[in-house]
Amino acid sequence: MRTITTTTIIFCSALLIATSCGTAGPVKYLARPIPANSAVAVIVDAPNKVKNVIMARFLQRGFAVKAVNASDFYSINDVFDIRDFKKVSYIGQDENFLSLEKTYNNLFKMHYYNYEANKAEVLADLRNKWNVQYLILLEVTGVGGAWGRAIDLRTNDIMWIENFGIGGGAEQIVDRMIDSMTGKR
Amino acid sequence: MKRACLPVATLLLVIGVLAARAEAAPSMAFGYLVNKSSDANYDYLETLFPNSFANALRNIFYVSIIKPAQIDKELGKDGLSLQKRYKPHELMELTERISADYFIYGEFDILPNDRIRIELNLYGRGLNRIFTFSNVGAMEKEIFRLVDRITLIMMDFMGKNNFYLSRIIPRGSKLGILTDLEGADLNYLFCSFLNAGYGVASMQANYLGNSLTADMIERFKTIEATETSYRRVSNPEAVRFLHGTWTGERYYEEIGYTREAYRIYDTGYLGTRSAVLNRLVARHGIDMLLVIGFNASRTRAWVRCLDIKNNDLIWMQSNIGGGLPGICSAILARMSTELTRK
Repeated sequence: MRTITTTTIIFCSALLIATSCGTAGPVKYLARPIPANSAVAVIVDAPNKVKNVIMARFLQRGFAVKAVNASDFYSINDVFDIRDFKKVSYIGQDENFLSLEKTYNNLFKMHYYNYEANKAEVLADLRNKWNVQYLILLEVTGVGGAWGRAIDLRTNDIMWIENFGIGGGAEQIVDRMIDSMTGKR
Repeated sequence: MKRACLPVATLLLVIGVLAARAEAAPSMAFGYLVNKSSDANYDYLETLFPNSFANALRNIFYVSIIKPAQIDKELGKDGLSLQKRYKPHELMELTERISADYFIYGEFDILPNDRIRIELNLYGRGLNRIFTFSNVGAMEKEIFRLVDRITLIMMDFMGKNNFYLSRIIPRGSKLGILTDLEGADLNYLFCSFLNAGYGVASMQANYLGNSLTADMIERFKTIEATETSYRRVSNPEAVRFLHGTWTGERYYEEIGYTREAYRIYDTGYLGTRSAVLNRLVARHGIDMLLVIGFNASRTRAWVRCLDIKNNDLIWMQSNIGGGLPGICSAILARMSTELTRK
Protein backbone atom coordinates (compact mmCIF):
# COMPACT_ATOMS: atom_id res chain seq x y z
CA MET A 1 0.00 0.00 0.00
CA ARG A 2 2.81 2.32 1.00
CA THR A 3 4.64 1.53 -2.25
CA ILE A 4 1.57 2.43 -4.28
CA THR A 5 1.18 5.73 -2.41
CA THR A 6 4.86 6.59 -2.92
CA THR A 7 4.65 5.69 -6.60
CA THR A 8 1.53 7.83 -6.99
CA ILE A 9 3.23 10.80 -5.32
CA ILE A 10 6.34 10.42 -7.50
CA PHE A 11 4.17 10.09 -10.63
CA CYS A 12 2.11 13.17 -9.76
CA SER A 13 5.26 15.17 -9.01
CA ALA A 14 6.81 14.12 -12.31
CA LEU A 15 3.59 15.00 -14.12
CA LEU A 16 3.49 18.41 -12.43
CA ILE A 17 7.11 19.10 -13.38
CA ALA A 18 6.52 17.90 -16.93
CA THR A 19 3.42 20.01 -17.44
CA SER A 20 4.85 23.10 -15.78
CA CYS A 21 8.12 23.18 -17.72
CA GLY A 22 6.53 25.36 -20.40
CA THR A 23 5.02 27.92 -18.03
CA ALA A 24 6.25 31.45 -17.45
CA GLY A 25 7.92 32.87 -14.38
CA PRO A 26 7.74 36.39 -12.95
CA VAL A 27 8.63 39.12 -15.46
CA LYS A 28 8.30 42.88 -15.60
CA TYR A 29 8.37 45.54 -18.31
CA LEU A 30 7.64 49.21 -17.77
CA ALA A 31 8.05 51.57 -20.74
CA ARG A 32 7.28 54.58 -18.54
CA PRO A 33 5.32 55.01 -15.30
CA ILE A 34 1.59 55.55 -15.64
CA PRO A 35 0.57 58.75 -13.79
CA ALA A 36 -1.74 57.97 -10.87
CA ASN A 37 -4.37 60.47 -12.01
CA SER A 38 -4.79 58.95 -15.48
CA ALA A 39 -8.12 57.99 -16.98
CA VAL A 40 -8.15 54.22 -17.15
CA ALA A 41 -10.43 51.37 -18.20
CA VAL A 42 -9.81 48.36 -15.98
CA ILE A 43 -10.75 45.05 -17.53
CA VAL A 44 -10.75 42.11 -15.17
CA ASP A 45 -12.42 38.73 -15.44
CA ALA A 46 -13.64 38.15 -11.91
CA PRO A 47 -16.89 37.91 -9.92
CA ASN A 48 -18.57 41.29 -9.44
CA LYS A 49 -17.67 41.44 -5.72
CA VAL A 50 -13.98 41.05 -6.55
CA LYS A 51 -14.34 43.59 -9.36
CA ASN A 52 -15.75 46.09 -6.87
CA VAL A 53 -12.74 45.60 -4.58
CA ILE A 54 -10.34 46.11 -7.49
CA MET A 55 -12.09 49.21 -8.88
CA ALA A 56 -12.26 50.71 -5.39
CA ARG A 57 -8.50 50.31 -4.99
CA PHE A 58 -7.84 52.08 -8.27
CA LEU A 59 -10.21 54.92 -7.32
CA GLN A 60 -8.64 55.26 -3.87
CA ARG A 61 -5.19 55.48 -5.48
CA GLY A 62 -6.30 58.49 -7.56
CA PHE A 63 -7.11 56.96 -10.96
CA ALA A 64 -10.10 58.18 -12.93
CA VAL A 65 -11.70 54.79 -13.51
CA LYS A 66 -14.09 54.81 -16.44
CA ALA A 67 -17.19 52.64 -16.18
CA VAL A 68 -16.10 50.05 -18.70
CA ASN A 69 -16.76 46.39 -17.97
CA ALA A 70 -17.27 47.16 -14.29
CA SER A 71 -20.60 48.80 -15.02
CA ASP A 72 -22.30 46.02 -16.92
CA PHE A 73 -23.74 42.70 -15.87
CA TYR A 74 -21.67 40.57 -18.18
CA SER A 75 -18.18 39.23 -17.81
CA ILE A 76 -15.64 40.13 -20.47
CA ASN A 77 -15.86 36.65 -21.99
CA ASP A 78 -19.47 37.31 -22.94
CA VAL A 79 -18.74 40.74 -24.40
CA PHE A 80 -15.80 39.76 -26.56
CA ASP A 81 -17.04 36.31 -27.44
CA ILE A 82 -16.13 35.24 -30.94
CA ARG A 83 -17.85 31.90 -30.93
CA ASP A 84 -19.74 32.76 -34.09
CA PHE A 85 -16.48 33.45 -35.85
CA LYS A 86 -15.15 30.08 -34.71
CA LYS A 87 -18.21 28.41 -36.18
CA VAL A 88 -17.64 30.03 -39.52
CA SER A 89 -14.10 28.77 -39.64
CA TYR A 90 -15.07 25.27 -38.65
CA ILE A 91 -17.78 24.73 -41.23
CA GLY A 92 -16.55 22.12 -43.65
CA GLN A 93 -13.48 21.24 -41.62
CA ASP A 94 -14.04 17.60 -42.48
CA GLU A 95 -14.44 18.41 -46.14
CA ASN A 96 -11.88 16.32 -47.95
CA PHE A 97 -11.47 18.79 -50.75
CA LEU A 98 -8.06 20.37 -51.18
CA SER A 99 -9.18 23.58 -52.80
CA LEU A 100 -11.76 24.35 -50.19
CA GLU A 101 -9.35 23.43 -47.38
CA LYS A 102 -7.08 26.25 -48.50
CA THR A 103 -10.07 28.58 -48.82
CA TYR A 104 -11.28 27.79 -45.31
CA ASN A 105 -7.82 28.27 -43.84
CA ASN A 106 -7.50 31.63 -45.56
CA LEU A 107 -11.01 32.58 -44.47
CA PHE A 108 -10.03 31.80 -40.89
CA LYS A 109 -6.85 33.85 -41.13
CA MET A 110 -8.66 36.84 -42.63
CA HIS A 111 -11.28 36.69 -39.89
CA TYR A 112 -8.54 36.73 -37.29
CA TYR A 113 -6.67 39.66 -38.85
CA ASN A 114 -9.98 41.51 -39.14
CA TYR A 115 -10.81 40.65 -35.53
CA GLU A 116 -7.53 42.23 -34.38
CA ALA A 117 -8.15 45.31 -36.55
CA ASN A 118 -11.72 45.60 -35.23
CA LYS A 119 -10.51 45.40 -31.63
CA ALA A 120 -8.04 48.21 -32.31
CA GLU A 121 -10.84 50.33 -33.77
CA VAL A 122 -13.13 49.68 -30.79
CA LEU A 123 -10.30 50.70 -28.45
CA ALA A 124 -9.76 53.87 -30.49
CA ASP A 125 -13.44 54.68 -29.85
CA LEU A 126 -12.87 54.04 -26.17
CA ARG A 127 -10.10 56.61 -26.28
CA ASN A 128 -11.92 59.18 -28.40
CA LYS A 129 -15.47 58.95 -27.04
CA TRP A 130 -14.83 58.00 -23.42
CA ASN A 131 -11.50 59.75 -23.05
CA VAL A 132 -9.82 56.61 -21.71
CA GLN A 133 -6.05 56.91 -21.90
CA TYR A 134 -4.89 53.55 -20.56
CA LEU A 135 -6.44 50.13 -20.92
CA ILE A 136 -5.51 47.96 -17.94
CA LEU A 137 -6.05 44.21 -18.04
CA LEU A 138 -5.74 42.20 -14.85
CA GLU A 139 -5.96 38.60 -13.77
CA VAL A 140 -5.99 38.30 -9.99
CA THR A 141 -7.53 34.90 -9.41
CA GLY A 142 -5.20 32.69 -11.46
CA VAL A 143 -3.83 29.54 -9.84
CA GLY A 144 -0.31 30.29 -11.07
CA GLY A 145 -0.32 33.85 -9.71
CA ALA A 146 -1.64 37.22 -10.83
CA TRP A 147 -0.66 39.18 -13.94
CA GLY A 148 -1.38 42.53 -15.51
CA ARG A 149 -0.88 44.64 -18.64
CA ALA A 150 -1.41 48.29 -19.51
CA ILE A 151 -1.78 49.74 -23.02
CA ASP A 152 -1.58 53.41 -23.97
CA LEU A 153 -4.63 53.93 -26.20
CA ARG A 154 -3.13 57.05 -27.79
CA THR A 155 -0.34 55.02 -29.37
CA ASN A 156 -1.60 51.44 -28.93
CA ASP A 157 1.78 50.69 -27.30
CA ILE A 158 2.26 48.29 -24.42
CA MET A 159 3.24 50.36 -21.36
CA TRP A 160 3.43 47.85 -18.57
CA ILE A 161 3.54 44.09 -18.15
CA GLU A 162 4.08 42.10 -14.99
CA ASN A 163 3.63 38.51 -13.83
CA PHE A 164 3.38 38.12 -10.08
CA GLY A 165 4.50 34.76 -8.76
CA ILE A 166 2.76 35.06 -5.40
CA GLY A 167 -0.85 34.96 -4.33
CA GLY A 168 -2.58 36.96 -1.59
CA GLY A 169 -5.77 38.93 -1.13
CA ALA A 170 -7.19 40.89 -4.07
CA GLU A 171 -6.51 44.24 -2.37
CA GLN A 172 -2.85 43.44 -1.70
CA ILE A 173 -2.32 42.13 -5.23
CA VAL A 174 -3.96 45.20 -6.80
CA ASP A 175 -1.87 47.51 -4.61
CA ARG A 176 1.29 45.74 -5.75
CA MET A 177 0.13 46.07 -9.36
CA ILE A 178 -0.61 49.78 -9.00
CA ASP A 179 2.78 50.34 -7.34
CA SER A 180 4.41 48.51 -10.22
CA MET A 181 2.67 50.32 -13.09
CA THR A 182 3.14 53.73 -11.49
CA GLY A 183 6.85 53.10 -11.00
CA LYS A 184 6.76 53.08 -7.20
CA ARG A 185 8.14 49.56 -6.99
CA MET B 1 23.20 -19.75 -25.29
CA LYS B 2 23.48 -16.06 -24.59
CA ARG B 3 26.77 -15.88 -26.52
CA ALA B 4 25.18 -17.62 -29.49
CA CYS B 5 22.35 -15.10 -29.56
CA LEU B 6 24.61 -12.04 -29.55
CA PRO B 7 25.85 -12.17 -33.20
CA VAL B 8 22.32 -12.87 -34.43
CA ALA B 9 20.93 -9.95 -32.46
CA THR B 10 23.69 -7.66 -33.75
CA LEU B 11 23.04 -8.78 -37.33
CA LEU B 12 19.31 -8.14 -36.94
CA LEU B 13 20.03 -4.72 -35.47
CA VAL B 14 22.30 -3.79 -38.38
CA ILE B 15 19.74 -5.05 -40.91
CA GLY B 16 17.04 -3.08 -39.10
CA VAL B 17 19.09 0.13 -39.13
CA LEU B 18 19.96 -0.30 -42.80
CA ALA B 19 16.33 -1.02 -43.68
CA ALA B 20 15.17 2.06 -41.78
CA ARG B 21 17.84 4.14 -43.50
CA ALA B 22 16.77 2.86 -46.93
CA GLU B 23 13.13 3.71 -46.14
CA ALA B 24 13.99 7.16 -44.80
CA ALA B 25 15.76 8.42 -47.95
CA PRO B 26 13.46 11.02 -49.51
CA SER B 27 13.27 11.03 -53.30
CA MET B 28 13.73 14.38 -55.01
CA ALA B 29 12.83 14.91 -58.63
CA PHE B 30 14.15 17.89 -60.59
CA GLY B 31 12.24 19.51 -63.42
CA TYR B 32 13.53 22.23 -65.73
CA LEU B 33 14.54 25.75 -64.75
CA VAL B 34 12.90 27.78 -67.49
CA ASN B 35 14.94 30.51 -69.20
CA LYS B 36 12.86 33.67 -68.73
CA SER B 37 15.32 35.86 -70.61
CA SER B 38 14.91 36.49 -74.32
CA ASP B 39 18.45 35.23 -74.99
CA ALA B 40 18.34 31.61 -76.24
CA ASN B 41 22.10 31.29 -75.63
CA TYR B 42 21.24 30.58 -72.01
CA ASP B 43 18.83 27.73 -72.78
CA TYR B 44 21.48 25.17 -71.89
CA LEU B 45 21.14 26.29 -68.26
CA GLU B 46 17.58 24.95 -68.18
CA THR B 47 18.94 21.44 -67.59
CA LEU B 48 22.41 22.35 -66.31
CA PHE B 49 21.00 24.04 -63.20
CA PRO B 50 18.70 21.20 -62.09
CA ASN B 51 21.44 18.65 -62.70
CA SER B 52 23.89 20.77 -60.66
CA PHE B 53 21.41 21.10 -57.78
CA ALA B 54 20.74 17.37 -57.91
CA ASN B 55 24.46 16.50 -57.79
CA ALA B 56 25.17 18.99 -55.02
CA LEU B 57 22.29 17.72 -52.90
CA ARG B 58 23.27 14.10 -53.43
CA ASN B 59 26.78 14.90 -52.20
CA ILE B 60 25.69 16.42 -48.91
CA PHE B 61 22.23 15.08 -48.16
CA TYR B 62 20.97 11.53 -47.83
CA VAL B 63 18.52 11.62 -50.70
CA SER B 64 17.50 9.69 -53.78
CA ILE B 65 17.77 11.90 -56.88
CA ILE B 66 15.68 11.84 -60.07
CA LYS B 67 17.07 14.10 -62.81
CA PRO B 68 15.04 15.68 -65.65
CA ALA B 69 16.15 13.13 -68.24
CA GLN B 70 15.09 10.27 -65.95
CA ILE B 71 11.70 11.84 -65.34
CA ASP B 72 11.21 12.30 -69.08
CA LYS B 73 12.07 8.67 -69.65
CA GLU B 74 9.72 7.50 -66.89
CA LEU B 75 6.85 9.63 -68.18
CA GLY B 76 7.57 8.41 -71.72
CA LYS B 77 6.32 4.97 -70.68
CA ASP B 78 2.86 6.48 -70.44
CA GLY B 79 3.26 8.52 -73.62
CA LEU B 80 3.97 11.71 -71.65
CA SER B 81 6.96 14.00 -71.39
CA LEU B 82 8.42 16.34 -68.79
CA GLN B 83 6.96 19.81 -69.30
CA LYS B 84 8.83 23.05 -68.71
CA ARG B 85 6.01 24.53 -66.68
CA TYR B 86 3.45 22.97 -64.39
CA LYS B 87 0.50 24.43 -62.59
CA PRO B 88 0.84 23.72 -58.86
CA HIS B 89 -2.22 21.48 -58.75
CA GLU B 90 -0.72 19.25 -61.47
CA LEU B 91 2.21 18.34 -59.22
CA MET B 92 0.40 15.83 -57.04
CA GLU B 93 -0.32 13.60 -60.02
CA LEU B 94 3.17 14.11 -61.49
CA THR B 95 4.97 13.20 -58.25
CA GLU B 96 2.77 10.12 -57.87
CA ARG B 97 3.64 8.99 -61.40
CA ILE B 98 7.37 9.31 -60.82
CA SER B 99 7.23 8.24 -57.13
CA ALA B 100 8.94 11.38 -55.85
CA ASP B 101 8.53 12.93 -52.40
CA TYR B 102 9.65 16.33 -53.67
CA PHE B 103 9.57 18.01 -57.07
CA ILE B 104 11.84 21.00 -57.68
CA TYR B 105 11.33 23.29 -60.64
CA GLY B 106 11.56 26.97 -61.40
CA GLU B 107 12.95 29.62 -63.67
CA PHE B 108 15.88 31.99 -64.07
CA ASP B 109 16.31 35.42 -65.55
CA ILE B 110 19.40 37.34 -66.64
CA LEU B 111 19.61 40.69 -64.88
CA PRO B 112 21.65 43.79 -65.83
CA ASN B 113 25.38 43.77 -64.97
CA ASP B 114 25.74 40.04 -65.66
CA ARG B 115 23.65 38.95 -62.71
CA ILE B 116 21.26 36.07 -62.63
CA ARG B 117 18.14 35.53 -60.55
CA ILE B 118 16.97 32.01 -59.86
CA GLU B 119 13.50 31.27 -58.52
CA LEU B 120 12.86 27.78 -57.25
CA ASN B 121 9.66 26.00 -56.28
CA LEU B 122 9.98 23.05 -53.95
CA TYR B 123 6.81 20.96 -53.90
CA GLY B 124 6.35 18.44 -51.07
CA ARG B 125 3.90 15.71 -51.96
CA GLY B 126 3.16 14.66 -48.36
CA LEU B 127 1.89 18.06 -47.23
CA ASN B 128 0.77 19.24 -50.68
CA ARG B 129 2.60 22.53 -50.12
CA ILE B 130 5.02 24.59 -52.20
CA PHE B 131 7.97 26.52 -50.84
CA THR B 132 9.03 29.25 -53.28
CA PHE B 133 12.20 31.29 -52.90
CA SER B 134 14.71 33.14 -55.05
CA ASN B 135 18.38 34.05 -54.99
CA VAL B 136 20.57 36.40 -57.03
CA GLY B 137 24.25 36.02 -57.93
CA ALA B 138 26.88 37.09 -60.45
CA MET B 139 26.60 35.20 -63.74
CA GLU B 140 30.22 34.39 -64.47
CA LYS B 141 32.08 34.80 -61.18
CA GLU B 142 29.93 33.01 -58.66
CA ILE B 143 27.55 30.77 -60.53
CA PHE B 144 28.73 27.74 -58.55
CA ARG B 145 28.53 29.66 -55.30
CA LEU B 146 24.95 30.49 -56.22
CA VAL B 147 24.24 26.80 -56.78
CA ASP B 148 25.77 26.03 -53.38
CA ARG B 149 23.74 28.76 -51.67
CA ILE B 150 20.50 27.50 -53.15
CA THR B 151 21.40 23.91 -52.32
CA LEU B 152 21.94 24.88 -48.67
CA ILE B 153 18.58 26.66 -48.58
CA MET B 154 16.89 23.51 -49.90
CA MET B 155 18.79 21.35 -47.44
CA ASP B 156 17.78 23.56 -44.49
CA PHE B 157 14.17 23.55 -45.56
CA MET B 158 14.02 19.78 -45.94
CA GLY B 159 15.68 19.23 -42.56
CA LYS B 160 13.60 18.44 -39.49
CA ASN B 161 13.36 22.12 -38.57
CA ASN B 162 12.01 23.30 -41.96
CA PHE B 163 14.38 26.21 -41.59
CA TYR B 164 14.55 29.26 -43.84
CA LEU B 165 15.93 32.71 -43.00
CA SER B 166 16.59 35.31 -45.68
CA ARG B 167 17.64 38.13 -43.34
CA ILE B 168 17.70 38.91 -39.65
CA ILE B 169 15.14 41.14 -37.95
CA PRO B 170 16.89 44.24 -36.63
CA ARG B 171 16.29 45.33 -33.05
CA GLY B 172 13.95 48.29 -32.99
CA SER B 173 11.60 46.70 -35.53
CA LYS B 174 7.97 46.70 -34.45
CA LEU B 175 6.50 43.21 -34.36
CA GLY B 176 2.88 42.21 -34.58
CA ILE B 177 2.90 38.90 -32.73
CA LEU B 178 0.22 36.25 -33.22
CA THR B 179 0.44 33.29 -30.90
CA ASP B 180 -1.68 30.78 -29.05
CA LEU B 181 -0.34 31.78 -25.61
CA GLU B 182 -2.42 33.74 -23.13
CA GLY B 183 -2.24 35.30 -19.70
CA ALA B 184 1.09 35.06 -17.85
CA ASP B 185 2.67 33.01 -20.66
CA LEU B 186 1.80 35.71 -23.19
CA ASN B 187 3.24 38.32 -20.82
CA TYR B 188 6.48 36.37 -20.64
CA LEU B 189 6.70 36.20 -24.43
CA PHE B 190 6.01 39.93 -24.84
CA CYS B 191 8.53 40.86 -22.12
CA SER B 192 11.23 38.77 -23.79
CA PHE B 193 10.87 40.76 -27.02
CA LEU B 194 10.37 44.16 -25.37
CA ASN B 195 13.36 43.75 -23.05
CA ALA B 196 15.48 42.64 -26.02
CA GLY B 197 14.85 45.96 -27.79
CA TYR B 198 12.02 45.05 -30.17
CA GLY B 199 8.77 46.98 -30.39
CA VAL B 200 5.69 44.81 -29.82
CA ALA B 201 2.23 45.85 -31.01
CA SER B 202 -0.56 45.48 -28.49
CA MET B 203 -2.61 43.17 -30.71
CA GLN B 204 -3.55 40.12 -28.62
CA ALA B 205 -2.25 42.03 -25.58
CA ASN B 206 -5.48 44.04 -25.43
CA TYR B 207 -7.61 41.07 -24.47
CA LEU B 208 -7.73 38.94 -21.31
CA GLY B 209 -7.84 35.58 -23.04
CA ASN B 210 -6.82 34.34 -26.46
CA SER B 211 -9.22 32.97 -29.00
CA LEU B 212 -6.42 31.20 -30.89
CA THR B 213 -5.80 27.66 -29.67
CA ALA B 214 -2.84 25.39 -30.46
CA ASP B 215 -4.96 23.68 -33.13
CA MET B 216 -6.26 26.87 -34.69
CA ILE B 217 -2.88 28.55 -35.07
CA GLU B 218 -1.74 25.66 -37.30
CA ARG B 219 -3.69 27.38 -40.08
CA PHE B 220 -1.11 30.18 -40.03
CA LYS B 221 1.71 27.81 -40.94
CA THR B 222 1.33 28.58 -44.63
CA ILE B 223 2.11 32.14 -45.68
CA GLU B 224 1.61 33.42 -49.20
CA ALA B 225 3.69 36.36 -50.34
CA THR B 226 4.89 37.95 -53.53
CA GLU B 227 8.51 36.77 -53.24
CA THR B 228 9.27 33.93 -50.83
CA SER B 229 6.20 32.00 -49.77
CA TYR B 230 5.10 28.70 -48.28
CA ARG B 231 1.67 27.92 -49.59
CA ARG B 232 -0.87 25.18 -49.73
CA VAL B 233 -1.73 23.95 -53.21
CA SER B 234 -5.31 24.19 -54.34
CA ASN B 235 -6.94 23.17 -57.56
CA PRO B 236 -9.16 25.87 -59.01
CA GLU B 237 -10.07 23.61 -61.93
CA ALA B 238 -11.57 21.05 -59.56
CA VAL B 239 -14.13 23.49 -58.25
CA ARG B 240 -17.47 23.03 -59.99
CA PHE B 241 -20.47 25.28 -59.78
CA LEU B 242 -23.10 23.04 -61.33
CA HIS B 243 -26.17 24.46 -63.00
CA GLY B 244 -28.86 23.33 -65.39
CA THR B 245 -32.60 23.47 -66.09
CA TRP B 246 -33.24 22.43 -62.49
CA THR B 247 -31.53 25.53 -61.01
CA GLY B 248 -33.56 28.50 -59.93
CA GLU B 249 -32.87 32.12 -59.11
CA ARG B 250 -32.17 31.39 -55.43
CA TYR B 251 -29.66 28.71 -56.37
CA TYR B 252 -27.80 31.13 -58.64
CA GLU B 253 -27.76 33.69 -55.87
CA GLU B 254 -26.25 31.18 -53.41
CA ILE B 255 -23.73 29.89 -55.90
CA GLY B 256 -22.77 33.47 -56.68
CA TYR B 257 -21.88 34.03 -53.02
CA THR B 258 -19.87 30.80 -52.91
CA ARG B 259 -17.98 31.71 -56.07
CA GLU B 260 -17.24 35.16 -54.68
CA ALA B 261 -16.00 33.66 -51.39
CA TYR B 262 -13.77 31.32 -53.33
CA ARG B 263 -12.36 34.23 -55.35
CA ILE B 264 -11.73 36.36 -52.26
CA TYR B 265 -10.12 33.66 -50.13
CA ASP B 266 -8.27 31.56 -52.69
CA THR B 267 -7.54 32.94 -56.16
CA GLY B 268 -7.52 36.57 -54.98
CA TYR B 269 -6.20 35.87 -51.50
CA LEU B 270 -3.07 38.02 -51.73
CA GLY B 271 -5.12 41.11 -52.55
CA THR B 272 -7.61 40.32 -49.80
CA ARG B 273 -4.90 39.85 -47.20
CA SER B 274 -3.10 42.98 -48.28
CA ALA B 275 -6.24 45.06 -47.64
CA VAL B 276 -6.80 43.48 -44.23
CA LEU B 277 -3.18 43.81 -43.15
CA ASN B 278 -3.26 47.46 -44.19
CA ARG B 279 -5.98 47.96 -41.55
CA LEU B 280 -3.79 46.31 -38.93
CA VAL B 281 -0.74 48.34 -39.94
CA ALA B 282 -2.78 51.56 -39.81
CA ARG B 283 -3.68 50.85 -36.18
CA HIS B 284 -0.48 49.23 -34.92
CA GLY B 285 2.27 50.42 -37.26
CA ILE B 286 3.94 47.01 -37.43
CA ASP B 287 6.98 46.18 -39.59
CA MET B 288 6.80 42.40 -39.27
CA LEU B 289 4.04 39.92 -38.61
CA LEU B 290 5.52 37.21 -36.40
CA VAL B 291 3.44 34.06 -35.93
CA ILE B 292 4.64 31.85 -33.08
CA GLY B 293 2.71 28.63 -32.66
CA PHE B 294 3.18 26.58 -29.49
CA ASN B 295 2.06 23.06 -28.74
CA ALA B 296 -0.49 22.61 -25.95
CA SER B 297 2.18 21.87 -23.31
CA ARG B 298 4.32 24.90 -24.37
CA THR B 299 7.41 22.74 -24.90
CA ARG B 300 7.76 23.13 -28.66
CA ALA B 301 7.15 26.00 -31.07
CA TRP B 302 7.29 27.03 -34.72
CA VAL B 303 7.75 30.46 -36.28
CA ARG B 304 6.74 32.29 -39.45
CA CYS B 305 7.70 35.91 -40.14
CA LEU B 306 6.21 38.08 -42.86
CA ASP B 307 7.93 41.35 -43.78
CA ILE B 308 4.89 43.59 -44.18
CA LYS B 309 6.56 46.31 -46.25
CA ASN B 310 8.08 43.93 -48.81
CA ASN B 311 5.30 41.34 -48.56
CA ASP B 312 7.92 38.64 -48.17
CA LEU B 313 8.20 35.55 -45.99
CA ILE B 314 11.62 36.06 -44.41
CA TRP B 315 11.78 33.38 -41.72
CA MET B 316 10.29 30.04 -40.93
CA GLN B 317 11.39 27.40 -38.47
CA SER B 318 9.84 24.43 -36.69
CA ASN B 319 10.72 22.22 -33.74
CA ILE B 320 12.07 24.95 -31.47
CA GLY B 321 12.28 23.04 -28.22
CA GLY B 322 12.60 23.74 -24.50
CA GLY B 323 10.28 25.34 -21.98
CA LEU B 324 8.80 28.77 -22.63
CA PRO B 325 11.94 30.68 -21.47
CA GLY B 326 14.18 28.48 -23.62
CA ILE B 327 11.96 28.86 -26.67
CA CYS B 328 11.83 32.66 -26.26
CA SER B 329 15.64 32.83 -25.95
CA ALA B 330 16.13 30.59 -29.00
CA ILE B 331 13.73 32.67 -31.11
CA LEU B 332 15.41 35.94 -30.10
CA ALA B 333 18.90 34.57 -30.73
CA ARG B 334 17.94 33.24 -34.16
CA MET B 335 16.13 36.34 -35.39
CA SER B 336 18.87 38.76 -34.34
CA THR B 337 22.00 36.83 -35.41
CA GLU B 338 23.35 36.55 -38.95
CA LEU B 339 23.59 33.04 -40.36
CA THR B 340 27.08 31.63 -40.47
CA ARG B 341 27.75 28.83 -42.93
CA LYS B 342 30.73 26.53 -42.41
